[in-house]
Amino acid sequence: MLRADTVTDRIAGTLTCAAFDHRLGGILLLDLRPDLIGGLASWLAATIGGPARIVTLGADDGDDTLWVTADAGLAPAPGRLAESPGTTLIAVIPDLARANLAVTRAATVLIGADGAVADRHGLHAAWRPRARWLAACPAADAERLSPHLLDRFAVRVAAADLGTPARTPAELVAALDGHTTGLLPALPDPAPLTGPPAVMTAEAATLVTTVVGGPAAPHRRDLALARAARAVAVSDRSATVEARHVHRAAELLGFRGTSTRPAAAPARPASPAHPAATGDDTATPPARPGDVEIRTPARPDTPPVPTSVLAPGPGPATAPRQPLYPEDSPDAMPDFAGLRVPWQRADGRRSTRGPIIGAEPSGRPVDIAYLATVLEAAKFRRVRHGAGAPLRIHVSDLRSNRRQPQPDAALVLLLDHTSRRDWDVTAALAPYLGWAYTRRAAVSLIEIGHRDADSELQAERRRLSGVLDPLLNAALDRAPARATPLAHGLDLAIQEMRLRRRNLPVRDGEAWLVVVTDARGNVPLEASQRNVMPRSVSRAGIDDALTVAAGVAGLRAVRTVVLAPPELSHYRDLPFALADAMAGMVARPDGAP
Amino acid sequence: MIEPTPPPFVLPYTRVVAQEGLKKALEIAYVSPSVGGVLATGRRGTAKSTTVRAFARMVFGDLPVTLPIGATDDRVVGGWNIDKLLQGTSTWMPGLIEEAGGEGRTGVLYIDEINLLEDHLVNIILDAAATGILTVQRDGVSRRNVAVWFNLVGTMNPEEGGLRPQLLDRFGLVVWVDSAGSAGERAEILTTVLEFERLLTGPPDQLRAAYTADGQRRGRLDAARERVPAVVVPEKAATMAGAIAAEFSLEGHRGELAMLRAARAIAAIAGAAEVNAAHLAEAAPLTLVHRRGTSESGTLRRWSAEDDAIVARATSAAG
Repeated sequence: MLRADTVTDRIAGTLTCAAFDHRLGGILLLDLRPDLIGGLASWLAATIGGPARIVTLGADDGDDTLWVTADAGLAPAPGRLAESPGTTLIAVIPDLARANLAVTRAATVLIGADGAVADRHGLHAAWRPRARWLAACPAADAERLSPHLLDRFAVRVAAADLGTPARTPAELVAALDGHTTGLLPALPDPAPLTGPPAVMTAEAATLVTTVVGGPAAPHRRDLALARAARAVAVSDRSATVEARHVHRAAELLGFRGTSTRPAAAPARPASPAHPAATGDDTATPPARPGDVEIRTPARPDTPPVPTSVLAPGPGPATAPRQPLYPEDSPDAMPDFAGLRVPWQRADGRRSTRGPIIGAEPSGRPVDIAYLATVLEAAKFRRVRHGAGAPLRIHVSDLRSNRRQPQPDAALVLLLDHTSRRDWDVTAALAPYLGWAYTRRAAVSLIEIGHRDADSELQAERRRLSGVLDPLLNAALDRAPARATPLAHGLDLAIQEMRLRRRNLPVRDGEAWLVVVTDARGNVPLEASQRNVMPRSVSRAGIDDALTVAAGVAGLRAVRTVVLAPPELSHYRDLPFALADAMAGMVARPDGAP
Repeated sequence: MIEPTPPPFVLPYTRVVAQEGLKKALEIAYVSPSVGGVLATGRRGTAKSTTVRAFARMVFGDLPVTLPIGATDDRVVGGWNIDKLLQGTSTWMPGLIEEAGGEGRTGVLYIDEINLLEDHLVNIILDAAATGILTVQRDGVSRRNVAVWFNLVGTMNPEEGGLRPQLLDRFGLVVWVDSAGSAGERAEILTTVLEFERLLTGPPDQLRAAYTADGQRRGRLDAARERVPAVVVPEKAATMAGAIAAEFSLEGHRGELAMLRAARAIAAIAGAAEVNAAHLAEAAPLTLVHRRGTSESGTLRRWSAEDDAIVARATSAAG
């Protein structure tokens, strides 16, 4: 029977199940090391056997490459996702959170569908989808994805621990010369499952529904577990799917609190080096041989989902456990209408940046959509110029890329919670938030000094969907802590502003850095970067903040303001010194002393 | 061109567990196509697409003509056959609307994830569905008044946003699809689906036998379809429909007409000679849920017991 003791077992097991049954073809590997997914796809192809085509999908793939393309004769031909009988398609998405909208929409309609059609540019193609989709995604980003999309990836594995636990010096030396094979995880040899599908008993079916959870659980999850259990039964050479097969499948898929394991079942102890590898932190040994006991269902006690923090620098020694199904949490906040083509912005300016989401007629040779343009010209080649004439593109053939609109203004808001003890900062922030709302600005939030922080010594960065993002409200309600890693917060704010300026078409003067603080930093920068409590601080926290703040002055066309509290009992000059260092200004409530 | 291996073996319609509301709507639209299209809205994984495809296979022997995400307008309304054009021959290639609703066609155009489709394509399709006429003016081609007759079937997940009220109103019937509630029902779904998948790998005669009940069900629906014109709509029923429409403050007459047509189809399926209050009460949720007080966002308000009480009050007052 397929093993599920280590993360390697679970990945090999789920891939083996997917090779056996194409209906288990939506697999999401959370926190997988990005360089491993290609090897896993090859391993899956070898397990399936026969011809396979592996396509890697990412931020660059639009509808014109996925559904239709042009052959050598410039005639439309089926695109990258079209499947041919006899060849298995393995679609690999290295980062689902950053895949193009066209990719996520295609995954939503193709995974698990009975039939697929493509109708573009005069081409009609139809096929039966049997592709396996192998996607990876940082667990912290998963909750932002559309639940609709995540539903298609019913098979999940926490893959952060997939790697080589022991690296020999010889392997490391070999890796210097590019021989990285020794650093890849050692998967077992592919062992395809063969045999007729096992019959699921009513008892096993009931067990599946119990393991998956309450009535709100999507049916695809039930079906995924049931199909995986069926594959496990085949691996056990059993004609029927029994409770032990369901339990083992649940372990493979990482359902929490599924069961105790029958004592008769052979099992290796989980590796002590990888305590998170089992994906089952509530399982306990059986009370006596043969015990099969259903414990707490997975869904009701799903732990709260950590917010999507882009932690700077090295993370904590023990990464917080992420749930495999973050969309189930009431706290999950996916992007609104994340699979819809976004609405056009009102100012009507065309942008040549941003993900391509389509093509449209254009009279100008700017940001040309090559396939659409060539196909349009090819239609008329013979009519215009006669047989055998070379392809000539007329102005009327020109098609340009339609791109996802991007914000052209940015607000980076640094909130020092320790300065807000008796101060409602909302009124002071209102003009800046109002500006960000009307400009539809990209909003980033840097927080320091609050009690919910993973690390008291470090700042946290969050990218919000806008000023209406509920995360902002939540931030304004936080309770202050004692540490004020202001230098780290400013360092992060500078990085963030640079990234926004570089990656978005932000106009000059349309970038605001708003710093809410009394400037009394008490954590030196190095202490934040190392995440180690300093032995003594003295003025180091303040001096580091002022030193880092000087970097803000170097940001081109960024306007900076320090919002200081009305009551400044000590160090009243600090906010002004900070603003001076940043070449910004101080704003304080009317009537403040 | 890649074509699937025929025939498409999808779960037999009669083996689809639960989904009574969607089944009823699909059957009504088949028995009385003039009722208009069907929109099924429900959260992910509630077997909306499975039910629609199973129904199409039962009544048409094939999967429905499907409008995919990413379709371009030349494939929706029609365009030049580019293969032929490259060889110097101009041949018109009908679009999906004509494939679904042209002469001798099945009459169903299915749009999965309709709320993810670009708005301008939805507008083109709804115009053609509402008027029965397709007009094409593109690429130097003028095709006027092409008669098309098709029922639009759409499925959507409201988590991805709603449809505009103007678009909702074009659907004759709207049905909420919920997850199966009880553990027993969920287990039954599992065993049914897995058993069917096992049949797919077994002897062909066993697989064919799985569709026997579908054939019988289709026969009953075909008979009901023939009976529809003979089902009497008494004046009293029309009065009741008017009273219900007034209670819900419906604008225009599209809602009450759809309600009467749906009620007549329900009566035909039940073998009744004329439409009565019970048929109207059964038709009302499907035909009115999207026509009463929907917000501009397109978010549908669910049909409630209170709505049922309003229908009962209106029918008893009018009767």
